[in-house]
Amino acid sequence: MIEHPANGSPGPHLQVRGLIAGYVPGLPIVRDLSVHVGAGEIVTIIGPNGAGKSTLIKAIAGLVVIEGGEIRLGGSDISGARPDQLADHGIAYVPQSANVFQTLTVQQNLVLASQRLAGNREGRVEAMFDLFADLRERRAIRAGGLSGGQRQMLAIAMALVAEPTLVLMDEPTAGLSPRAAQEVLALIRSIAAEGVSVLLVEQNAKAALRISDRAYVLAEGRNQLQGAAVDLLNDPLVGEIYLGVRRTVPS
Amino acid sequence: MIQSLFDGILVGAILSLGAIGLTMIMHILRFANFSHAELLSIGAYSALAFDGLLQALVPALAQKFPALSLTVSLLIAIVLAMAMTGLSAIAIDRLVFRRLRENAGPLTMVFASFGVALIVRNVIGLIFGLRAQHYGSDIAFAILVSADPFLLIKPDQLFVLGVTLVLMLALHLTLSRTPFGFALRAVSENPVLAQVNGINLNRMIRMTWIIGGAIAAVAGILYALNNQLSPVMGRDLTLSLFAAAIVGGIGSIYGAVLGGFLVGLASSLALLVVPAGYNPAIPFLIILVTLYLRPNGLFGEAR
Repeated sequence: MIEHPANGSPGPHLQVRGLIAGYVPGLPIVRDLSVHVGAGEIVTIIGPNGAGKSTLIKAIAGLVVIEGGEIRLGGSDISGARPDQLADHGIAYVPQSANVFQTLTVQQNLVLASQRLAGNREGRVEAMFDLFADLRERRAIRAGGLSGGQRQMLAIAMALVAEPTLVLMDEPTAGLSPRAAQEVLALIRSIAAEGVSVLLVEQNAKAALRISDRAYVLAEGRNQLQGAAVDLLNDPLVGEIYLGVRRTVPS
Repeated sequence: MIQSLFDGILVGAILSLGAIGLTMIMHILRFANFSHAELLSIGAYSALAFDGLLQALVPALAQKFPALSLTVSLLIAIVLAMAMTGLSAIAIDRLVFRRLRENAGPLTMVFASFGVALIVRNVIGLIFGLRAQHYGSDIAFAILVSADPFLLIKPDQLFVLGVTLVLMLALHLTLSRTPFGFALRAVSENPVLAQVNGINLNRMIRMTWIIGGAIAAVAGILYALNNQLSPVMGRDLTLSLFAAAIVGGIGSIYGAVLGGFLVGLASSLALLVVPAGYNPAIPFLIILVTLYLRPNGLFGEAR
């Protein structure tokens, strides 16, 4: 595993150190977590239910109370900032559910999400329609009427329309058909290829690890294991506990 | 019958305007604001005050529009009252609701809203007196539009309907065409997702109070034009406003508009079949029937 050097190079795009966070003050769910994501890197967080995966992502997005530790983005401390300020800072967060505005049309969702851009908003919205042809066809219908896969695509498009530098995704393939899930994962690859950092929480850990550069395994709000995605994918212990892979029993 | 329909539409228009702010606040801040109807009173009385002030300063403004009891000064006073009521709504939020939002539960906010309603009602009574008042001293005569079917319309009432339509159209265009309108709807549907998309929640809450308050002011003034000003007008309207918001579905602005007209029409048409004394029970019945048949209202989302 290659770690970024502590000095010299500018360091990773997102750096979380010793994070303590939770929904109720005094009852942290994330207890001492450290994670970093480099520019253009895809990092997956895996771990059992209740390990603090979603809470970590919400903390970075500014949605839960941070009680300790620090979060730095591009070198500056962003812990404690409001979600809308973080969005302006280039963080996009795609929640697991309720991630589009159902009463707004597809186009209105995108126009709304593009408002935090200073420059050519219309051009960015059109660029999203170029990327997601399905959405262009359905631009005038309400997002509540989209299929699960289309809705997920819209949620991702809403994240991308504002040209973020870091995309946080909570279970982006949950509830999708295998084909739609594959499309989403392929899309995540292409997002990262543009230099955008991606931090992913995925129930479908095996599929997520295949597209990831690195991964962290959490347990009870703390770091358990970390390493290159390939290594974790082939680690028999990780496989047994988190990936649902049965170890071949030697006869 | 035709007369009842017309009266119902008129009352409905006023209720619709009042219910718009109620449903927006109820959905975004997640509490039933029993002081919302007092914003109608604040609007109606501040228009009375501004009207008097303007006429005292510039007597020429007492000029009346043909056939209406409406004066130029009152027309200006309406705009000033809208601003005044919006600002009052923000002040009340700052002083009471915002603190409770941060430190207490939703039920506390509901109780606090009862307290706010009592305070506002009594402060208005202290300043303006408890007797009923009218904007102008003259009576505007109704015009007999037709004798059979019987239909009497006051020109003021047409003004009321016209203002309502213009306001609703303006609100509709804002909500359906402008990014600001999308943001308002987004906050109303999913405040967390709205924030994640770069929307400053506190700013939108302030805007909601301003818009809800300004529209409530117009509703209060129109109610006073159609009936009279009284410190307890808010109390009398609260139940109907809640009925309108609940029928339409909490959070749905279009639902509130439709709900307002439905409640207005139902109350008015009910006069044909039940004794007038039972009329205040009609909104209650509407709430009960709605909650029984369609708990989320006509346009409300399932929760």
